[in-house]
Amino acid sequence: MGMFLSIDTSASGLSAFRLKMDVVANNIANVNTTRTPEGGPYKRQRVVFAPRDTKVRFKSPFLPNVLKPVIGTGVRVLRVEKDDAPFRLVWDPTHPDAIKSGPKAGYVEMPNVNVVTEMTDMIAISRSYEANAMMIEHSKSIFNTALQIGRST
Amino acid sequence: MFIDSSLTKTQYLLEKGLDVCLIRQEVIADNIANVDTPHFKRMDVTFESQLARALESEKNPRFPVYLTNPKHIDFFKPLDYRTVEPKLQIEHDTNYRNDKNNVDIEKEIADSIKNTMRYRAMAQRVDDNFKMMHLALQG
Amino acid sequence: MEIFKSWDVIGDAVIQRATHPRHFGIIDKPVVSDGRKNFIGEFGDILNKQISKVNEIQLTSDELTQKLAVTPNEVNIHDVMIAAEKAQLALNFTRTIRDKLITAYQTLINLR
Repeated sequence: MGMFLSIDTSASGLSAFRLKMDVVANNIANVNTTRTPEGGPYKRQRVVFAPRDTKVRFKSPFLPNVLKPVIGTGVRVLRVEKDDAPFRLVWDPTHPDAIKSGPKAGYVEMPNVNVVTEMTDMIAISRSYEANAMMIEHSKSIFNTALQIGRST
Repeated sequence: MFIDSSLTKTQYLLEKGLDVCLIRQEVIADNIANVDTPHFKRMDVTFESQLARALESEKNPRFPVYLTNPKHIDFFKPLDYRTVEPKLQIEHDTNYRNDKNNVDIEKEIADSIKNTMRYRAMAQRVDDNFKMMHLALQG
Repeated sequence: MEIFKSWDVIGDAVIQRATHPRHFGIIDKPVVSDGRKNFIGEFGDILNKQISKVNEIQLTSDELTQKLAVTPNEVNIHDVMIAAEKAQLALNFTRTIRDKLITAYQTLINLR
């Protein structure tokens, strides 16, 4: 409980969604990158979230007091991982990175980033970020209201 | 403060309501922060309905029961409203997305707005009650 | 009409006798007025007890304010404000009662 727990929770949400937004922006910027330092085209990145407290939440309605659910403390980023979806193949034998031999000769492997998907994700992330900021506003408003108790007497 | 007055009961209910609104604000903040977390289930706070039931049970029972033995269990036992505590419940069985996350962000935002309005109303009433008592002391 | 003799009255208790067995009341037992039955304590004791309760209210408010200054994460803001308001109200009440008591005492002293 206390005054600042809800603000910490919302702040964790804000930083998590900001990171996700950065990853999406990076994906969009690298939508045509066919050459990366580790070889091959750019692989789409995505973020994996997890709740900040790692306590197990039991399903049973009859629980001893020790195992009862506790209020969570927000979200954290587990890892930023690469998406293993197959690459897009575009026919362009004149491209310097075209495949030279084999069944896919003449094709260029383009990154597996779909701009439409990324844009949709960006809209959702924007709304989530806004909602978290609204939570902080509400917490502030609640605090200020409580400060007014007994003010005028 | 004043024993056996209706004002004491109101004061107690208001203070408990303020506490519960704070808990609810934290729970909703946690739900919204975890709106994109896979396998996360939203949490809820139940208090007002239990409190209403406890207050309802203090009124006269509608169906009086005649017990032939003092060890028999009565139909209506009045529940003391002072023992009602807020309960945290996790909604396990609903799904909203494919990754088993069931947080509906619009609902959470609406709940949070309602919660804030409730808190402000209750804090305002507490302040007014105190003003009233100060008024009674004047002169 | 019977007027009670002075030996029938003890303080505020009047001895009553029932003259017929069907009359209500027990023969030769004094009827005590309400004042003695509801006696809860001396005025000074009650005053002391209530003033120490006011002191407790002040101490609670102080404790919560200290928690606010030291570990704000443990305390709720409305608890602090409500406790402060209750403390102020209790002190206001006590001051009013003290003033009235002193006024009453002075009025009694100045009786001619």
